[in-house]
Amino acid sequence: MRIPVRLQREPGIYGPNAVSFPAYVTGVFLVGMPLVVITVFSFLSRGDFGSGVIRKFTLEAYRTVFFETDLMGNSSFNFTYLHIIGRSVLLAFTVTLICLLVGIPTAIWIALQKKSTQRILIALVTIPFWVNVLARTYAWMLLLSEGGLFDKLGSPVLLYTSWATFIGLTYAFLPFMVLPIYASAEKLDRSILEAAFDLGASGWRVLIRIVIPMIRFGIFAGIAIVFIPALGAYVQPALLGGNKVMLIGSLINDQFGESRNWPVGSALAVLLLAMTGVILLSTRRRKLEFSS
Amino acid sequence: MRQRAWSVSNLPIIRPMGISSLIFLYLPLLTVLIFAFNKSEDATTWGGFSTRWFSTILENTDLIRSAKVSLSIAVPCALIAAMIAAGLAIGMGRATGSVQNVLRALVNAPLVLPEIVTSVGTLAFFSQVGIPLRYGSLLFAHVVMCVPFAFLPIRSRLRDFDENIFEAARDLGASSFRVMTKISIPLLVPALLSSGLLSFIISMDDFLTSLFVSGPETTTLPIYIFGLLKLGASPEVNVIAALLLIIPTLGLLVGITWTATRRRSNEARHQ
Repeated sequence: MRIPVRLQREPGIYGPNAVSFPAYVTGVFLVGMPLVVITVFSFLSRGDFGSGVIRKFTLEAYRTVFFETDLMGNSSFNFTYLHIIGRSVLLAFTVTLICLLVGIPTAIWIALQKKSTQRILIALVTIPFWVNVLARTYAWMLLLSEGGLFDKLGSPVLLYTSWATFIGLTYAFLPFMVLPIYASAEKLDRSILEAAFDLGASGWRVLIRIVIPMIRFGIFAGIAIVFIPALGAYVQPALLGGNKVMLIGSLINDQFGESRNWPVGSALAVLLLAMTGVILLSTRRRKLEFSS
Repeated sequence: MRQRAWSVSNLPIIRPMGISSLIFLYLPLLTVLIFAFNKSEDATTWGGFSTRWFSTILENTDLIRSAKVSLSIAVPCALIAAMIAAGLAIGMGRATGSVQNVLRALVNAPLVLPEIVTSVGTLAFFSQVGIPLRYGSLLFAHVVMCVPFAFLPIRSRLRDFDENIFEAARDLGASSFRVMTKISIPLLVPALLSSGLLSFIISMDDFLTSLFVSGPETTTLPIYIFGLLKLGASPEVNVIAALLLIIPTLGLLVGITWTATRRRSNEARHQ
């Protein structure tokens, strides 16, 4: 380290420390508190008149998610919610996998172009990401609907099926996968690849044994930022899947909306939060781990 | 000289995959663009070129009203988020304390958490504290969502500068406040503009947070459009979707060109 520790602690390098205060206040009150509140709500009872909660501690919400009780009072696993959660995880997993298979080669391809071409290609990948998610989702409604382009080309009508949801999510999150992988692929040293080729390695071998290990941190970051929003997605399942197949995002929305069961909705949100935490921790940059 | 020229095509599947992804990314967008100029009543069948549907959306008062609501939130949101983010970047400096790390993680959390979690959390929090779902509550829900994005360009701009500039000013007796007003903020002007633009787009686009935190008078454009989309494809929606595509893209292209010319003129000045 070049900078001595004493200097690192010295206040006010760019200005008074107090100017960070508004950010911390909004962070604590509008990010931290909501997370605390839903965690607390998930342990409370359902309000009498639908929305809201009653301040009475109970594990009822979690019990509803995991178990069901029949008329005789016997508890057994409730597979309705578990199925929905499992299906959401499977969908997010598949979307992430396809984004990886498409995104890794795309990012490497961009990173190996001339600098000026790279800039243009990255702008091209970034633009769809800035287009309103509703417009992007609508584009697929247009393509996949009855009488749409794909229908005219002879493909079955996929709109309002899980396939449409899957395509819409892959489409929405592909840029999320390409950008972080590109950020690490950009630093690739071409001479290493060249050396490998000169020593007789095949293209696949260079790709799998050299390129991919070198860009693994970008891949980890890409996995996290695709998997997490895909898991909690709401817009694409609602518009492309026609909400025919329940997913965890629509389920939470439903509990806070029509079903008016805030504790169960909160419990599901807490579970989603926990899954997010697991993904973030498992894809975190691990400095000690080197591939042999 | 090398005997054998090395090129990208030596790596398998890289080039075809890259080109296919670009087609995959742009095919839907182009379809929407083309069908916005469709004459036909049928949203998905081409019936010749026409701009007739553009005029119909101007008469759609609900659409215009919701667009105004969205603008009335996105503009102040962009200003406030850029200011808060700049404050965070400036005040935080190089601090590495554990309390600050926790606080910064909280501020950045909207970047990584699923939006459904933060939005129902915000709804639950507002209802618990008794904050009514009006303009102000929606505005601040948008601000917290934008701050972590607005922070990124500011942070990277500050990191680009030689820290000795700031150290020198301090050594010469400038107060930290003076350092901020005379050095940090003037240096940050371009970054503040990108932060504002970023926040503006994010606020205009946001659907989920608005869905949960908006009241009856604050129906934003995305909420209105979501309602239309649930009814399926129509020529009118083709036009709306095309506009949602064109406007941010143009804004972005202007932004990119502007920074590129700036960079070029800066480089010219340094030579």
